[in-house]
Amino acid sequence: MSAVALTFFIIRLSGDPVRLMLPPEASEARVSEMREFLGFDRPMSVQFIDYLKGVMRGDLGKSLYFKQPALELFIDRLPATILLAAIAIVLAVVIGVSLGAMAACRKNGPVDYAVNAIVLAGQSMPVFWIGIMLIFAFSLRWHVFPSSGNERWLSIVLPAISLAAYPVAPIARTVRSSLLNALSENYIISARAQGFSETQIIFRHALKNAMLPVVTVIGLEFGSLLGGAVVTETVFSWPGVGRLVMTGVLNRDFPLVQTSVLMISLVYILVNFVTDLLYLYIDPRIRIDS
Amino acid sequence: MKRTRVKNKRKGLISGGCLITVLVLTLFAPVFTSHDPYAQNLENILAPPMTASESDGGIALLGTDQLGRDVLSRLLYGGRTSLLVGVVSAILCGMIGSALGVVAGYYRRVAGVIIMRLADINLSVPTMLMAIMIVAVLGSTLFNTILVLTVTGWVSFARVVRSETLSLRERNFVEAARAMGVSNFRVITRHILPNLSHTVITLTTLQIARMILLSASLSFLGLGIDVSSPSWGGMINDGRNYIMTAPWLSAIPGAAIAFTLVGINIFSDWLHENLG
Repeated sequence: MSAVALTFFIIRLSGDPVRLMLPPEASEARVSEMREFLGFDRPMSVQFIDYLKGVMRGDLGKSLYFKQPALELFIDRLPATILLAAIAIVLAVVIGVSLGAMAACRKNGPVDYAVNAIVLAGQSMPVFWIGIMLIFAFSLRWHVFPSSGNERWLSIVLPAISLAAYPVAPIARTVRSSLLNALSENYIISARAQGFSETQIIFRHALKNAMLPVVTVIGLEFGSLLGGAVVTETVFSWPGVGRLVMTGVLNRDFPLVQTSVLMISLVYILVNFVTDLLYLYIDPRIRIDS
Repeated sequence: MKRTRVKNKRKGLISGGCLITVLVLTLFAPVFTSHDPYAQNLENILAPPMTASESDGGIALLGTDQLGRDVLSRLLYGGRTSLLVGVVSAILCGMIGSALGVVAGYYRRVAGVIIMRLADINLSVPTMLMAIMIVAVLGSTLFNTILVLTVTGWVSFARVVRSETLSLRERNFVEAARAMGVSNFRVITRHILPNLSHTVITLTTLQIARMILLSASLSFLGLGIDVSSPSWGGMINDGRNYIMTAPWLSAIPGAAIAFTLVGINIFSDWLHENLG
C-alpha cells in the first residue's frame, strides 16, 4: 500500500507528468489534449483515488510506448528476472556460506584473511563493472560464454555471477560471525567430546543454528539484488523487468515505470514476508512462543 | 592484545594511504595532468595507455578515449565529482537520518511512530529503483543526484540511531539529567548526541562508499549528472562500446572506484574498532 502511494507521488513530483512524456517541442494544444486523455487535468486527490481503484482491480494503466497494459508487459518479463535472481541468490548463498564457514573454521589464519580480502573486493566493485569485465574476459577473449541475450542456458552464467557478487559479501560476513558464536556453545563442546569430526560438527551442528541471521540478511539483500538486476540486465541485454524499467525511463513511459517499480516492490515485500515465515521453519522456539 | 594493536595500525595505514592517494590525486588534479579533460583530439583516438601522442607532444599515460580525450585527466576530474557527490550526500544522510532517529527514539509516541512509518515506506521500494524513478522524473543534475541519494539513504541512519537512543534514554545519566529539570532539547544535544557520535561517524564513512557505488550506477544507466562532464560511472559506460578494441576505457575507472571503496571500507572498519 505504501509502495503504491510512493510510486504514485514520485511520478507527480515534477508537477506535470505530461510535459515529461512529450518531447519538449510539443505544442501547448497537444500537451493539454494529452493531459485530458490521461486524466492528469483532474485534481490530484481524484487521480489518486482512481488509481487506487485501478490497482484493486489489477488495472495499472497502459504503457504509452508499447500500447499494451503495463501489468501484462511486466508479467511477460518477470520469469526471466526471477530465474536470474534465483540463480544469483543461490550462487551467492553457496559461495557466501562456504566462504564464511571457511573463515570461521580458520579464525585469524591465512584463510580468514583471504576470505576477508575477497569479501572486501566483492563489496567494493560496481556490479556493472564486474559484468563488463566478465564479458571482456569470457565472451570476447576466450569465447566461453555468450555476452548477451537468453537463447542458450549458457548465457545466464555471466549475468548471474555479476549479480551474485555483491550479496556474497554480507552473507559471508554474517555466516562467519554467527558461526563463531555458535561454535562456542556447549552443544558443540559436547559434540566434540563425542568424537564427531570437525566437518560434521560444522555442517550438522553449528551451521544449522547459525542460519537464522543469515536468512534475515538474504531477505534484505534481495532488495539490492532487484536493484542490481536493473543494471545487470542492462549490461547483458537480459530481457527481464529491470530492462523494462529502463525502457520505460528512456522512453518517458511513466505508467510502465510506475507499474514496474510498484510490482518489483511487491515482490520484494513478499520475499521478506517469506523469510519471516522461514524463521518459523528454522527456529522451532519462535513457533512455540507464538 | 599486542597482535590486535598491530593489526589495527596496519589497517589504518593501508586505508589512510588509499584515501590520501585518491584525495591528493583528485583535488590537485591540475598538478598531475596538463591535459584538459574536455579537450577532444580526433587525430589521436583510442590510443592505448603509455603512448606518446604526436599532435600535442604529451604522453597519454592512461590512453585516450573515443573522442581523443585524455583518460587520466578525465579520471582525476571525474573523481572530484564522484567523491563530492558521495561525501556530501553521505553527510546529509547522516545529519537528517540521525536527527530523525534521535527524535524517533526520544519521543516514542507520535513523532516516533510517524518517522518510523516514513522509514518503512522508504524501505518498501528497493533503493536503486527509487533512485532511478526520482532521477527520471526530476531530471539529472548534480543537485538532483545528491537529493536522490539523500532521500534514499537517510533510513539506515534513522533506524540505527533510534535503537541506540532508545537504550540511551533509559540510562541513569539521562534519567538524572531529566530529574534535575534539564530541558528535553538540552538532554538530546548534551547527553544523547555525544554518545551517538561514534556510531554516526562509522556509519557515515560506510555510507560514502554506498553513495559512490549508487551514483556510479546511476551515471552508468545514463541518469548521472551530465553526460559530457566526466564521472567514473559514465566513463565505464562510454567505454562499454569499445570494450573489444579499447578495454582500458572501462577497466581503469572501475578500478579507481574499487580502489577508493576498498580504502573507505577498511577505514570504516578501523574506525569501528578504534572508536567502539
